[in-house]
Amino acid sequence: MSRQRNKMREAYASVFGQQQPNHSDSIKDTQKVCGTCKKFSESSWSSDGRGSCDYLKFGTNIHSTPPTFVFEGDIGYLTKTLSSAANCNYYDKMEIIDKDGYECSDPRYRRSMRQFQD
Amino acid sequence: MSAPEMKKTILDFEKNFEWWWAAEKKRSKRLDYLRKAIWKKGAIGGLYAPGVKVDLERPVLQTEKAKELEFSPDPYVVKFAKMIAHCLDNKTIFITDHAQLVGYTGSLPNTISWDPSAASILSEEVYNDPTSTPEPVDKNLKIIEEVKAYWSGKTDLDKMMPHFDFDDLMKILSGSISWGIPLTRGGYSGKDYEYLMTGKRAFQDIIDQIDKNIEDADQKVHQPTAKREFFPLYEKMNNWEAMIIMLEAGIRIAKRYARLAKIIAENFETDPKRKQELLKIAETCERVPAHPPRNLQESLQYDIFIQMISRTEAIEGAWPARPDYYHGPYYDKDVNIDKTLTKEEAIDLVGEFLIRAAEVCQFKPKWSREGLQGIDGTWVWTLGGVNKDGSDACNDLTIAFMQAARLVRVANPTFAFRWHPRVKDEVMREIFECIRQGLGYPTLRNDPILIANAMHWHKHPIDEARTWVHQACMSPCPTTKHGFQPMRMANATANCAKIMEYVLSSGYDKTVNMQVGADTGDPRNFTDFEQVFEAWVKQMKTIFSILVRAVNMARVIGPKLTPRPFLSSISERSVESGLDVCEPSISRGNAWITAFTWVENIDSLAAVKKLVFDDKKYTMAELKEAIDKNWEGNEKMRIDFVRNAPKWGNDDNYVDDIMVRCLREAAKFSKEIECPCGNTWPILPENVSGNIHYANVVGALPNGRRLGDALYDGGISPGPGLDKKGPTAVLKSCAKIDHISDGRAFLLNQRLSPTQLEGEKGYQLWKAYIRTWADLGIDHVQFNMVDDKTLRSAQKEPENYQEVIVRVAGYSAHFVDISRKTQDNIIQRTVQGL
Repeated sequence: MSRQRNKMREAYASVFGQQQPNHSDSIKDTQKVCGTCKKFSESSWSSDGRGSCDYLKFGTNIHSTPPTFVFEGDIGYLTKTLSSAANCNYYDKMEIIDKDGYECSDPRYRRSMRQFQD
Repeated sequence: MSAPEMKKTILDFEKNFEWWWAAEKKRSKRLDYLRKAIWKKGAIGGLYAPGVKVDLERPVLQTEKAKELEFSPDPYVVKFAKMIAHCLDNKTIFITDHAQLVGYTGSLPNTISWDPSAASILSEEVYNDPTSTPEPVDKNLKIIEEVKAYWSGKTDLDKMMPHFDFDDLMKILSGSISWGIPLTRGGYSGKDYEYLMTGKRAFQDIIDQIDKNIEDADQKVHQPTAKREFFPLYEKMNNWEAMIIMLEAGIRIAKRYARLAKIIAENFETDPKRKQELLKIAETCERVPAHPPRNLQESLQYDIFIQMISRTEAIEGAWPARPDYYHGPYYDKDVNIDKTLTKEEAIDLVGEFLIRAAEVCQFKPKWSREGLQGIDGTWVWTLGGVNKDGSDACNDLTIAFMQAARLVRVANPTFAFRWHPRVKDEVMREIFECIRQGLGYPTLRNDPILIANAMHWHKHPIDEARTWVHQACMSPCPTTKHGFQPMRMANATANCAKIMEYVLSSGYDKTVNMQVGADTGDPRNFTDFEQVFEAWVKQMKTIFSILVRAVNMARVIGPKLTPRPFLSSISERSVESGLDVCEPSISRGNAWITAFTWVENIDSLAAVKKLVFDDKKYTMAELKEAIDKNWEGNEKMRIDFVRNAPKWGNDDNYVDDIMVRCLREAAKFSKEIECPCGNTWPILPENVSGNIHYANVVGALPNGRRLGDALYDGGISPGPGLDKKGPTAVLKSCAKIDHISDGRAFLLNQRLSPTQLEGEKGYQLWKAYIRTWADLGIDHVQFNMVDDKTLRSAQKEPENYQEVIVRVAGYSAHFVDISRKTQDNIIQRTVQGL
């Protein structure tokens, strides 16, 4: 299999191979999750919380000990809104805008309406 | 309504353009009750309204049957049919008070149905949705979790995705360029109405035909000599068997409604009039869908059952229909010939039919809800047009639908009228009245142009092309044996603003941190506009190809992995051939690429040409730097690009020529890429509310846009406030496009002043505008006719403006049901004085 194809297959598996952390889990630590970081972009294709980091690249693993950070490559680091960012050195907490949930949903789940810089 | 307002008359309300209060007073008590009993199913912004809950009955039923069938030797298509039949046989049914029509996919009026077998990502969203879990929440979350866990890895999307090219897949999954999922059970599903709704047959007749087909096939495969020509019959017999299972389940659920109506009538109803109505419902449901309808009520009920069963089998994002054409003969019989119904009684039925359609809802992913704010899907019903022989097809029901629409004021379904030169004045007046009363529909479609378009792009014969209905918001699709499109996959929807963005970033997408587009070189090195344009063409082809490849793959493998036995059972080509309806070899094809965010490209290219290469005011390096910084620190430069570069929609050849050039490059490419049927892939510029959904995904552009700004409202509509030369200039710009050969169709939003279009003078002004529009060969136009004052008041006091409707893009929505950003975007649109 070509390296590119293999890499893409791994990237796909990293997106679909894991479940989003559960609803109840989210209450435990919303302070430092990928979804509350300025660098996170939630995918507007699947609105189940998948998204990418606009700083780190595929190959990064922020859950390992120690975490691995990759900065070069074709694909961004694919993660989810409720993924723990406790070990991420590049976490940059966003300003949570207090808006009605019908304009943009709870920041734990949906944030593409608030990605623009104020 | 407040006490002083209760004293106002219908005339008072109409004088103040408060059409919704006037409608409340005008409609019958029945329609008033049914209208107010609707649960709002369209998402507001992106969330479902309070009280609307996901229905857990169907997922539980489907899962229990799936578990039971796990070790069954049945082929998958038969198992799937049995699962759906089990859901239909056991689902809770109800009859709404005062209703004459029945049928709903959910178990209660406030529930929205969830198909757990469609996509794992959808099921995960059901679990995480903060508002729609029914009470008690903890218990029901456990049920959702169990159902979700069972189907994880088994859903249609799970089965399909590994077959796609991973490179393409990752780019699609990024969400930067595409909107939609390539599934046979999730998208826009046409119907073979010529087979199903012309009164010649119904479910029992089809069952009898299929039985015969199976018998013939069975005899052949048991002949002593085993010929290879008989091999395909094994699979066909499985498909036919599944089709029969679905049709029989459809007949059974109708009889359950009949029985329920009879039980209520005989045991609980004390009002003699209502008792008779319930017995009529029972009689209707005994008749249809087993047998062809005999009157208007049966015809409308037949339609509802078909939609209900179809939406139990699949997630349907649209409702292609031509209700006046197919139900018209029954209206004529009941009202004009047999006189069994008065006009008012017929309007009640028609109005209720609209209400039943407005209530339809299936749980959809949030990207869909944000792209289609305020509605569940695009139920664009096609009225008018011509018969197969070219004569005027408008009838009394055409008028009745429009009159009923003004009374019930639902945003969905919405109408699109197939205009042609022989449309009678009385019909035009009805259309005008709907628009004037702020419904935002009907939209006007230029029938001769679109018939020619369907023949040009997809080689539909003229008599088939003349049957066309809206497949979703805009694209024509025949309703014939080989012409109808069983599943239009929304995945072929391109976020076209990215084409321009990628010209300046050589294909790198900053928002998703990924190389999505082509490597077209460093734009700072471009020395003339032609190099910019060449890069644009390459990016366009790259993006379109990614999307088309995925949909083509899904169309080819879908019929085997994710069959549609019910849709197949009501389609002549499948009943005849034994093949799944989505099988490409038995279809002529009717594919198109929806081009969201198209005009941004035109205005941006014009700005680059003018300010960088013609006026030499800036260099490409300066432009790229400003764009990379999202115009920060370059506000003066940004305003220059907004104000001092020509904009589309002002009859200015400088920019209009660029529009035509871009479209023709796309049209040329459309003929190079093929669908699995061997047909073409024309583009169709339009937006729904993708301009808001993508606001934070598309970066800064040379038209002066910043990341986060709402994009234009779509199609070939000029940017809000950027059309400065009046409505005729807009039409003249649009007329430079060849609406037959430059693309599939082209959406045009126009906003008109309600005060200017009052009275007979207003009607004549509007009619003259339509005449100009038609003479210029433009294929589409749709209108908003609600003033700023009303819209701003609706923002402040939404409770008093619940039935104000606006035209968003390819659909209408209640103004109070869309997000603030979308509301402001609509208010910004230029009001044209005619």
